[in-house]
Amino acid sequence: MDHQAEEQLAAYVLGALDPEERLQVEAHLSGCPRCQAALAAYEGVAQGLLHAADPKRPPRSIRSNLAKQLGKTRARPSWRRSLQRVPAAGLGLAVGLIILLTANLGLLVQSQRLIEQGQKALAQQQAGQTAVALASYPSSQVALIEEDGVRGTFVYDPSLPVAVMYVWGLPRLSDDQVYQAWLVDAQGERLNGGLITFGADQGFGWLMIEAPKMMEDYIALGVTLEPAGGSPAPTGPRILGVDL
Amino acid sequence: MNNIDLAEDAVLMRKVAGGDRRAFLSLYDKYAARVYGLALRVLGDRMTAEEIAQDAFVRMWTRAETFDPKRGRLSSWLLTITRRLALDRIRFESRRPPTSNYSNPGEAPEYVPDPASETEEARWATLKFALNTLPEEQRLVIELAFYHGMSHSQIAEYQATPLGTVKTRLRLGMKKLRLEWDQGEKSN
Ligand SMILES: [Zn+2]
Repeated sequence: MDHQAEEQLAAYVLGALDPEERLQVEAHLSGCPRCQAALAAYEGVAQGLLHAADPKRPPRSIRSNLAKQLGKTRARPSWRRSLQRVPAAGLGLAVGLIILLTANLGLLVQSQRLIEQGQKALAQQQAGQTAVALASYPSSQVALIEEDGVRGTFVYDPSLPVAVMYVWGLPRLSDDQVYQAWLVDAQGERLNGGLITFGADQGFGWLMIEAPKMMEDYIALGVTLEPAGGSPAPTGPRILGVDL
Repeated sequence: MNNIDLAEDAVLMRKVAGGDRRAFLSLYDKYAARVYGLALRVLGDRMTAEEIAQDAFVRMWTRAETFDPKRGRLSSWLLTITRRLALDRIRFESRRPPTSNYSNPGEAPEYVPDPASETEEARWATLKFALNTLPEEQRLVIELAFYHGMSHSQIAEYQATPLGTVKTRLRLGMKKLRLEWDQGEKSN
């Protein structure tokens, strides 16, 4: 893509890109320090725009409503709260897809090995290729992640067992922590989806998921904070969730 | 906002994460006007803006543990949440942006003392000024995207303007804003 993405960063921070453009930008960003620096500058502008609205005092009733509500809403929101099963496209595996799938699985296995070997840059390239390839599948779904300052994209195909996620703006980790992804099935079972890999400055993370079942068998993806090395089941606070 | 103030926010947010109501309400008093102001800017009507402002603070209460002071200031975190909630509401109700004069919603801004320090405030004021002095067509495109959640192609359709023109306007406008922002950083 060669920094074409830099041109699109302004639109990216404003949220003006269409999902596929956005994914391409993220795929490029995750491996390009130069564009990451440019992104930080545009993020500054976006923060300025957040503060550019004229402050206005809200009615007193909001404060008293909140004060009343506080005791009742202590519970951490659970993933199940907003989970809804979206009917999958029901598309069978066409021959072309099987070929693409095989290629992707090959990349995935390689990618995991590259991460283990510390070859993040190469692994990142493959994640990017897989994401862009996935996005071009006729039945692929792109879920936008946007909550509490965390931004990203999750691309998957209901009829394939692979998915790629990009995230930006996650709270910074200390050395003994990781972000771990979980796939949630209809029974509420959480399956390890792997650890998010970060580039040099922890700004931009990505994850490739190779699931034992097709993505249509899962209803949500969640990310939790876990001790280094990951956990067999989620133990830490939920950081974000995506309904599939 | 000076460092002491930022550190104070971080301490208060840790207390909020632990369920401290007084800490929560003091942060509410500090930031409610900004949150409500932004919600009003995006939504254009008071009733919905009040709901969204309330929702944003409920989130601050339930998700306090996910706030990371190392990644940015609390006002940005809270306003990001506010914008997101307000845009979700717009999409949910498939609202169209108000057509006239939506950078100044009707009345003169009231004076609300701001918690930010003078330098930070000056930087935001500079950016706001820069936004308001952009060529009209560039400013509109940026505002439709940021405050109304419209994509390039939606803006093109809404304004009946070619997509390429929309993209160029957005890029040129943002370039100028970025220049202003970078200069603010240097002079700080
Ligand atoms: Zn680049």
